[in-house]
Amino acid sequence: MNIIEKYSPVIISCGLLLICLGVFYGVKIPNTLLPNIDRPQIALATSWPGKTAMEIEQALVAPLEQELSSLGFLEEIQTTISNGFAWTLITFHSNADMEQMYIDVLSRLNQVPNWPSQVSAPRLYNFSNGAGATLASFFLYSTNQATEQELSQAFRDHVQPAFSKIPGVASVTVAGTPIEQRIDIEFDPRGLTQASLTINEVQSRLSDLVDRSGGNLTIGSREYALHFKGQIPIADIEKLPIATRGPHIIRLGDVAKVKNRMASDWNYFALEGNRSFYFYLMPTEDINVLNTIDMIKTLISDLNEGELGRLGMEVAISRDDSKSIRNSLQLVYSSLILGAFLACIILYWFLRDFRTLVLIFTSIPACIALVILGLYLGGRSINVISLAGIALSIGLMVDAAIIVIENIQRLRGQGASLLTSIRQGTKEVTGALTASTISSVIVFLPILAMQSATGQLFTDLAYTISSALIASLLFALLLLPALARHLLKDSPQVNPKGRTQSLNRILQRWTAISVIPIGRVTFRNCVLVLGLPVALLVTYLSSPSVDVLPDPKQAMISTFINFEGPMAVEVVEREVGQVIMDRIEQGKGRFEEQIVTYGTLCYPTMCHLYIYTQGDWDFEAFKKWIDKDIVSGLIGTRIHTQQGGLLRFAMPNSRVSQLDIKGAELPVLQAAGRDLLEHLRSEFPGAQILEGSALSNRGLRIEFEPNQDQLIRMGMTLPEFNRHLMALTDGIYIGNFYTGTNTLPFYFKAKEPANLEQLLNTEIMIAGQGLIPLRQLTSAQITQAPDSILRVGQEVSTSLNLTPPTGVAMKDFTEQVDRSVLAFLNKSQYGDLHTQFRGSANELKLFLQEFFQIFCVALLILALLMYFALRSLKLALAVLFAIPLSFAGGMLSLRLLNLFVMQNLDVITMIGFVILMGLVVNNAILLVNQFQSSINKGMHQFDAIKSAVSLRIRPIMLTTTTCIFGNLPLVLSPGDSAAIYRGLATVITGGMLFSALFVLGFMSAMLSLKVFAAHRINPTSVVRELTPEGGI
Amino acid sequence: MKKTIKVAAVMVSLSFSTVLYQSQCYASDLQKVRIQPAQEWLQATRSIIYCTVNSPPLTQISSHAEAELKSVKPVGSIVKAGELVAEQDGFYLSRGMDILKTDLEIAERQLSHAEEELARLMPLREAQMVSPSQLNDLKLNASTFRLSKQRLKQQLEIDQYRFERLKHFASRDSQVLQVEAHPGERLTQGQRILQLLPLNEKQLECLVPRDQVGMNLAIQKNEFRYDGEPLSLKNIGRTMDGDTQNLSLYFDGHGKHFESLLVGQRFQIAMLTPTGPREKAGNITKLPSDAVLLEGGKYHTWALGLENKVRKVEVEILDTLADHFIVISEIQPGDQLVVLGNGNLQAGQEVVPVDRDS
Repeated sequence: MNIIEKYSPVIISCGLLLICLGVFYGVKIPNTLLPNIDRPQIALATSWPGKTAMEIEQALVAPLEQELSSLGFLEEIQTTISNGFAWTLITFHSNADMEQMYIDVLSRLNQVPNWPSQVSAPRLYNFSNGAGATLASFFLYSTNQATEQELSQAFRDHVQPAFSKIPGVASVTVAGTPIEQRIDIEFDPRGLTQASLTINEVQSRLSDLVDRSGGNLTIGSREYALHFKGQIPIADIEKLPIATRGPHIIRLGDVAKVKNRMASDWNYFALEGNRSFYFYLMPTEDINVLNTIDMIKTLISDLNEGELGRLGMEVAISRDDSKSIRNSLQLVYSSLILGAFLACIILYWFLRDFRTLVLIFTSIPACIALVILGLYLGGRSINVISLAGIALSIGLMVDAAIIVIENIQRLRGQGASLLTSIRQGTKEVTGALTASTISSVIVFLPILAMQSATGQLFTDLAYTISSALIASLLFALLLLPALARHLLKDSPQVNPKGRTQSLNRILQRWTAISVIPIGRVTFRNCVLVLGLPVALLVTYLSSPSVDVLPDPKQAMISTFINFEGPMAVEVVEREVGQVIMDRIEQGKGRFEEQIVTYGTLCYPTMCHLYIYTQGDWDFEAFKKWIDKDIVSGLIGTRIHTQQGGLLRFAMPNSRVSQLDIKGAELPVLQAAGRDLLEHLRSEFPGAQILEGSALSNRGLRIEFEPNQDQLIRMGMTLPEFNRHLMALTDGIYIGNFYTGTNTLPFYFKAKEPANLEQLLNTEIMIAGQGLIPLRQLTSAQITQAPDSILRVGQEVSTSLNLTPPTGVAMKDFTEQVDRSVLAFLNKSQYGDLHTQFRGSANELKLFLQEFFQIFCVALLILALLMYFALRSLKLALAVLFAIPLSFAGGMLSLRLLNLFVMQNLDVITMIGFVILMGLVVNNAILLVNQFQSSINKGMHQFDAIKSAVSLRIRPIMLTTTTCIFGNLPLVLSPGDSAAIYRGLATVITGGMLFSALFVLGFMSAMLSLKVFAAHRINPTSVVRELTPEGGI
Repeated sequence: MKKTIKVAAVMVSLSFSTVLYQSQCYASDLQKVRIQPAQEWLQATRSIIYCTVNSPPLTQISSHAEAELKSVKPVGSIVKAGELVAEQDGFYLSRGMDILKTDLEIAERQLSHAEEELARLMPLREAQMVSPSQLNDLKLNASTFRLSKQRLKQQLEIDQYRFERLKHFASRDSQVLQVEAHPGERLTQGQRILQLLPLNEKQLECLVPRDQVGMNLAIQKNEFRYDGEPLSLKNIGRTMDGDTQNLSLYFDGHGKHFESLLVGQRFQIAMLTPTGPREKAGNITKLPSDAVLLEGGKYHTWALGLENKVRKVEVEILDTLADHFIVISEIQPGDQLVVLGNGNLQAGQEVVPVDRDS
């Protein structure tokens, strides 16, 4: 304490400096919606345009999975294969060294045998560095009918380089509108036959169009490099001679045309009716989202006015989460400020002294600044969770200061000088404050150890609250005494209790009520016997349904239009995409002011229509308009409309679970999946139950069965014949050649046949045989094949996607589904199959297991801490018994909240109970500590209880009410994003309220038991007493 | 009473509106489907066969006489029937003929003299004033002169024939394909001057794979069409190509629609094979391809029946066109088929049909 007195100006200066640093870094610290979630997952994206799912499975995925299966710490490999594309998700154990795993996966990729040369290596996505969520997505469109090549070229030349330079952008990724191009040397089969040319003859002239070098030649004194030209510019390639017929040279241009085309068809993506090119940005790990999005907006404006404007193109943001993030953060900021203001009012009501109020209130900005400094130095971000943690801590920040100030003023009221009061008052409460701070902080240790993806959400929460508590302690013990020396110098020595007569009366009355159990044995026994069980029963009965995450809504509406089977992209565009765009354009009149932007993303199996809204908009009205005017009459579709979720990109699929079916061959699994889908849809009509993988072979294909006898007569081998077929359809890959600007794959292919009949009627020249029509060499039959295949754990599976109805918790839903599925499988012929849940349901299960563990660990830690602090097992247990009362309060508050808004027991809310545990023991500790002290001074048990209650009721009520009122804005905030933390705040507020109301009475009853009536509770004192001087 | 009527009116209107609402709800619960009709199709399967235009026998123009070639039409010339295509010089031949005529006259005079002498001396034979050998000599002379005259006459006829054929005319509309002699050249007898390709006598040869012909080569029942116009089968080849196992069919190339085809040109014709007795009974119809679904290796379609209830009909695909299938099934031409919205249909399910144009 001498140090504080001696160096108080230094301490105050350092405090101010730290506060300034906190403000400075508060501006610099990254802002995001949620904390970064590190998932121990690496994903591989493999693309092979034009190939079927089965072909990709056999040629690429199976060998790839085989190679990856030997990775260490591997938990699961899951691959979704569709026509032209495969997505492999590798999940590792949570304790895997992900950097090493990334390197291992990279090296394994190079060892996959027989990887086709024309297939690029898979692209890697490392989700272990928080790279799961995308930053924003964009449309690039043309106002003057630019072609796909022109859009792709503009993207390559202008957009991609500009976006890549923005700090915070890790990569610019194209989706749905691939930019890969290819050069097709497209021949007309009739042209070849007329010139009596074989495909091989022409193709052989096209191979190896590369320049070569041949060393050097010395002429005179100079050395000349020898260069052999082989490369032909694209513009001249049609002049390449390929054959002679008498005096006539047949050139390539006589039989073929060179065309530059996109390697894959584009899906129909449109922004407000403009067919568009689509891309999104992946963020870096330490991104400041709001700053980055602001920079992006500036860049877009520059591009649209500059290079893109000259090309008649524009870039527009499709998804701008900055608004949601800003709104969400502002909501928390306002709750924080309001909470501080309310806490201030409560403080003044208790203290009635402005200087004291200022002293205590100073702890709030000081602690917030220190917390933000801590966040910045710890590499954290300002997000909804960390800000909510700060807001929740408002009441806690002033606790330590209140206790110190109260004690100082009490001593001053007893006649001590200011310095003595400060010194003594601080010293007296240091132990208790430290113990209670440690007890509150230590419960966060198990939370910090959570490894599940969901559990990582709470690291920031634990970080901020524990930082706030430690900052509060440091402020109260170091800075507050230094400030009090100056601020209280001229203030009168009046016990603050003297100023609050009405409050005193209330407290006295409450004290009298709280100590009732002391004198009445029966009542006491009722309280003790019934208190805990009733609290536990109330907790159990009033608990809402368990869910994974809250579902805060967004100002956005999504409509999913699922087709009954895959359709050609041009048909989707014509029959669905353009239709809905036109209808919106015509019918948006009355909603025009509320619509910010709208667009559609169409794929072969579905279309997703989205509309971003603003202002005072009504979801039901929009839904009705969409259902009635926009998507009505779309035959062969299933429509589902929902409001957008704030967390859908930060935590994708947080309300979706997958049910996998395994244990048989694909046809059986598909049949089981179809039957199960129908069954679950009829059992749960409000839920969204969709195919997670193809449950029927919807991929239509035409199988060509070669006539082997004919082939052998023609002297043609099967590979040779298949090459002919490939030339007539997708094209034969010639090689990758430089075109002057890029290196592109070259293909030799026939003009696309109009239909199967034309293809089969095509004649091909076979050397020595003349012209033979294709249909003589092969037959064609339409068959079905899977257009997508799911493999889980290197085993073929089928899957259903399950989303519970709005308002139904995930846990309840998955339990019901599980029972229904088991009953169904047992009654059907699919009894040998087995099922498993993945995704959200699995995450919930893992989280609950983890939560149970941390809860028990936290409880154990608390118990040990109480034991060491109070040095008595009985007292430690007495303190712990106060916890269930607060839990009952927390659960009842949630139930009350459910009367007004939907609030399930999601994972964020559950953590509130762990935090509550650490907070409510403080009041009990204060009480028990004072009781212990009184007993040690020789007071009678009952008197000690009354003394403890009367002495501690004021600070207990003060700290509890500031905490409650500090949290109240978080509970009552009406904003959409408040749903993220509303449950958490409610639990803490309700729990603290119950603690304030009932813990005193309960503890009085507990402490009045004979077991606590020992002459001295402190065993050291007991030993001293039992051992007279001089020993036994 | 008034109150009762009022209440009754309210009740009735409520009931009506409930019924209406329910019916609308019911209607709105029905699945909408898009329909298109099945179309008629020839009761035959159609296949394409590949043909070439064969050259008919070329007309050879050869020299009849040893004569100089005066003129000849160049290669590529199109000549009409009766048009002069080549001409030879007739000077030597005509002088030769004159000499022959003179020889013939001499022979005639000689014959006449010999016959006169014989007639004069025959009566002297009875008076034994002339020897039999002398008479025989006179008889021989007369015969010789007679034969000589005959020979000369024949020779003259031949030369006359040659002379008349010094000018060569095209026997039909043709094109000069090849010229093998040159003006000024002295041609020998039988030397080829040129070849003519008759223009209107093309023969079409088409190749049909063995598999399409069937065991009994019963191909005569098939119909053949080129650009929709019928073709008549002229002959069926009696040999089959050993490698390709193709059978040759021959058609006449007469007609306006073959005028544009050139010898050597390849083209295709349609062969319509009537469907004979088959295992499966049914009609052959043309269905929109979107109406045909494949499930479990079998094809079916959903047809709209009475009261807009759908029924599942199995079909067998016979042929594939651009956006249609030719199928054999119970489907009749004009039957309405579901082309969109056919997922999850059940037999007997009532649906709301929507035309393509709605």
